[in-house]
Amino acid sequence: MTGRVAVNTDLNFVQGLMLHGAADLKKCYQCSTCTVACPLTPNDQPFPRKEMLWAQWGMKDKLFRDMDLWLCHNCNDCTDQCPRGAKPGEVMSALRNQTIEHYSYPQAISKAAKSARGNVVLFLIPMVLIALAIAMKNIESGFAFLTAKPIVYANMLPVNFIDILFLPPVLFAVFNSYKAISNFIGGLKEQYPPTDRGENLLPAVKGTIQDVLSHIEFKKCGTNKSRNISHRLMMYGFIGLFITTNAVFVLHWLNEFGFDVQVTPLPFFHPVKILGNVSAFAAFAGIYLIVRDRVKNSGTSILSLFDWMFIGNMFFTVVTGILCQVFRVGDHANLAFLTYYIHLVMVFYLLAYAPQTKFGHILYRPAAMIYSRYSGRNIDIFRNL
Amino acid sequence: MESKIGVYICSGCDIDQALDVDELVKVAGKECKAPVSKTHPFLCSEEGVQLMKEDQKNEGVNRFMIAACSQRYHEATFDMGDDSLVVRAPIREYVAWTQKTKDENGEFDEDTQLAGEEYLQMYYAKIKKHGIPEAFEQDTSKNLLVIGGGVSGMTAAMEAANAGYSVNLVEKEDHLGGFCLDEYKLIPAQAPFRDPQMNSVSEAVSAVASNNLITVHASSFVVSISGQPGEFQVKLNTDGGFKEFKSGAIIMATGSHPYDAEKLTELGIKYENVISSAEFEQMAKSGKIQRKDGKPALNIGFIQCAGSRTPEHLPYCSGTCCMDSLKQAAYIREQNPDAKAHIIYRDIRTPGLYEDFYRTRQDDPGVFLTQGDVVGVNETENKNIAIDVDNTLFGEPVTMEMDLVVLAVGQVPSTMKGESALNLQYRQGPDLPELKYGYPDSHFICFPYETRRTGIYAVGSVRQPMDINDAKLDATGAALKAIQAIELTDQGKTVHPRVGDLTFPEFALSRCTSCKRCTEECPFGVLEEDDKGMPLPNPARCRSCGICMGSCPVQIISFKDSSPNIFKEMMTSYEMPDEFDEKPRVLIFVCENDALPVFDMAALERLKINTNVRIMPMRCLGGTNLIYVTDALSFGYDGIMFMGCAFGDDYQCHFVNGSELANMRLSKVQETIGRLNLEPERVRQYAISMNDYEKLPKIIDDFVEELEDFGPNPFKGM
Ligand code: SF4
Ligand code: SF4
Ligand code: SF4
Ligand code: SF4
Repeated sequence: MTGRVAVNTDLNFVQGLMLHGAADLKKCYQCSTCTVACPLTPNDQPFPRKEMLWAQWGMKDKLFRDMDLWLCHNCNDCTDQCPRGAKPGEVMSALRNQTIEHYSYPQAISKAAKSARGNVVLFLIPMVLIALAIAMKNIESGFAFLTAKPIVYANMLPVNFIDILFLPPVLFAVFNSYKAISNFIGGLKEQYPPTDRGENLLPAVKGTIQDVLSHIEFKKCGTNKSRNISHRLMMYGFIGLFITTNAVFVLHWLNEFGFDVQVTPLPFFHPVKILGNVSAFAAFAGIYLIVRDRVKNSGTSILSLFDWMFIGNMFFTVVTGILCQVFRVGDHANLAFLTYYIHLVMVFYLLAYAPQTKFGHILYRPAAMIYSRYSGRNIDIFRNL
Repeated sequence: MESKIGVYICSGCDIDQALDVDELVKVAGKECKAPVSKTHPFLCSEEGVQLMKEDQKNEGVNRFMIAACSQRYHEATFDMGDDSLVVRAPIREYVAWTQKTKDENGEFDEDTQLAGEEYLQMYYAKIKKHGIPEAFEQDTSKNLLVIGGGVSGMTAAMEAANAGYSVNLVEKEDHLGGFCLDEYKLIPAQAPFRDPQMNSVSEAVSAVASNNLITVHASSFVVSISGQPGEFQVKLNTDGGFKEFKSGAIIMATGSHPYDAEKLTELGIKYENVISSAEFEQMAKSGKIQRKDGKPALNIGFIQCAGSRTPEHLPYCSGTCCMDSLKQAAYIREQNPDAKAHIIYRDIRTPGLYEDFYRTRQDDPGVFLTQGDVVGVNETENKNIAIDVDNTLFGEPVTMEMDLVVLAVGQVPSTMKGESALNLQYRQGPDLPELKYGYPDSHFICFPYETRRTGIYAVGSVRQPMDINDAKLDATGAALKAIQAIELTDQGKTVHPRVGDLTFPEFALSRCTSCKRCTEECPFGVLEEDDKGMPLPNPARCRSCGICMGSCPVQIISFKDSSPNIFKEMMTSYEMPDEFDEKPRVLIFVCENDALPVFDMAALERLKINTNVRIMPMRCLGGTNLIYVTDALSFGYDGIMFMGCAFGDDYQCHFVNGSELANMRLSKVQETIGRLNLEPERVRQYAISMNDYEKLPKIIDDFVEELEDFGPNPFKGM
């Protein structure tokens, strides 16, 4: 019996997958057209045909330790070519979501993120917390910030309040991310022990960063060509916003400690302000294009709530961010503060639940990409640009 | 009636581009001495036919020799009525289209013209010797005997009854319905082909039982059948008593049984939780899909091709077990939503719209499919079954632990049970001769329902492995064939494949030596023996193939239109060019079924064929009598070719083994040729089929060229 893999089918897992984004997965009859179509798969043990079979048979253990799920960039060339309409690209995506759920800690958050009711709870937490903080700060002044001119968001919730409020969830997320990703990499190592063809860790990290920044994988894609642009806009946009947020954080605390720096609201031509605005518009454009393509392709693309929550959150985070500025400049106090409140809730959701929601892909994918270089699997990839 | 021959030469279809037709008319008159000889530019037109009809009326012509196209065209156009004979001399195909045409000065080619004249004389010799065909007479019963009361038998009986024929339906059990009656559900027979359908066999049983034209004999079997189509004498044993009646044709629908799973030791049949698909069907029917120990069966494995496509068991694919297992997977899912079906297959074979049935199972999250070779089946401590599978789609050897394992076994025809269902009182034995694996021989490509016993049709899963839906179609077809047999027999005509032929072998018994070659070699069991060991023909069993004619060493078997004598007259009808003429002559005997169409095709493509050959069609190469060789060689032919179909395992012969018999006989010709002091290479047989038509000219040229090495036949002009 040595060398035989024990196959245990898992009906619940298959049904769960079918419910969450992979409804057509059983249609696959293993013709392998998809692996031929896929521009990103290595020649050796190519994907996504084998993932389709594992998924059909509910072979979780194989799937959760499958680096290939993350080498897939969801270009959907395979879905386009599949003669049975099994939508392998969507199945890969659903499997990634399942993987995130599997490694996430606490798992309850991931489970909640899949359902409408769960999301209500997930939203209520920041809504209540932030509302309480606002109330605490302003109850004495009788919510005078609403009428004070000019509109200053820090009047509603000063930056140190925000930092105090957001630091725990961020630490929480960092801790959970660490736990999840180290388990994930442990799994990868078991399924694909490193070979001597692999790169060292540092070059692997460097190479991956280059790949991510250049979007080299996206460029190979045939079906979803525009994602090269849209995903890149979004990614750079969010990186920019991330830098902006941190810059504001740094400026604030420099100011607190007595340095002479400008704090929010920053003037329009302040470099941080410019970076923030440009990034916000880039992200907005990116998300807009993505949503537009998703809707356009809704015939072939079956997104689960898990996916929509992610895209939706990103979208509203950026939109509320932009609107905050618009309403402030336009001097619509009530609208402005309400929008700002929503914006804060959105940001909280994104940050706090990052490792348990689809946002987590920014951890898993680079981890897998680095590991694919490190283990040597990356060598087989068709570099047929 | 006085016979009067008219020769009608068509000059249309470019015949006049190669042949001087007026000259031919003269030859017909001068050499052949035909009382009437004419030409027409378009003989198959209304006017052309009218020309002949007038001669029929005014001149009393009653033998029409039509020198025009091949006999394979215009058979109906040139039908001159029951009282007149028609012989076709295909100068269009044999000469005009395949030989040199006029040169640019309008001069006809000498060799081409000679070919035309020689053929004219050959066919004139034939029409002179042609006898008048006559139908045989008998008292035909229009009753049909159907043996086997399963789905095939019941369908055949119903179809025949619906067409107005009375049927005796014989079933060995005490009730109708057969194997399918006990099935839980059936594979789908109509759109959308997605799910198993309710078993409706019992409704068919009542419909048959209440049909006035069908007499059901339950608990019965056939004790004996004698006679011939139209007048089979049938004797039944019904519950110990005997019944006798006459039937016109017989449908054998005795079905099949599942392969004995007990023989599948390598698939773990000895373990209590490994069962056969037949057993599982009954388990599902009882509503309790569970293990022997009463524990629920949640993980159920199906091993496909269990014993099928395996030389030591059944070498063939039954084509039904894939659908059966998919159907049974549906039972599992329907009876317990937590139970799972795992199907390990070599290939899933669900042709046509059954694909939708497969897809529906595949879409079910609880049905798991993988290709793979099962290499081991073992019992675990808790009586689970571990299936070890190699070459799976997983890309690595796997093992699966199941609560219950089903072996999907194939079909075995009832003929393998070792008891005869027909008990034919034929000299050639009680059963239908079989082709392979117990399935009756039927030339299954071209004539699926035929067997080697005329008027007896094997149908359903005794004929070849098939499912219930195919069996119904099959039974419908066979019922029509049986009716056709009854009606043609009633008219005294040949049934198949020379449908409607009125010529039958005649035996000049005064010279018969009782050697029994004809009775042995007739592929259709036509000839019984009288008490002196001489052949006793049953014309209604006869297919008019002429194989007996070829077998007879003293050449006493003949047909009205074909006999050793007629062949001899034809081949010696013209003046053999002498050895200094450099006009060798090669005779080609051509099988009408397979080789003649090749010549017609070559002609259609205007391929040029060696001008020194003369073609003699025959019913089947099996009619080859060695006397043809001696006759031809003594007349001075330089070589003889025999062209027919391929023989062997995948034989193509319309009469089963005609070309094989010819080959056997020709292998003995050496001696004969030796006696004449000639080279044995002068005689050769060729297997040829339609797609060889392009090669035909070269095959012939090569043979003629080889003959040059031997020099001319020294018997020329003697
Ligand atoms: S997912 Fe589609 S393309 Fe890929 S193996 Fe399955 S059926 Fe073929
Ligand atoms: S979605 Fe694109 S990258 Fe992913 S498996 Fe399909 S073809 Fe490959
Ligand atoms: S029908 Fe299917 S299971 Fe049966 S022998 Fe053929 S391939 Fe095998
Ligand atoms: S050999 Fe042919 S022609 Fe002769 S008796 Fe048999 S079936 Fe008839």
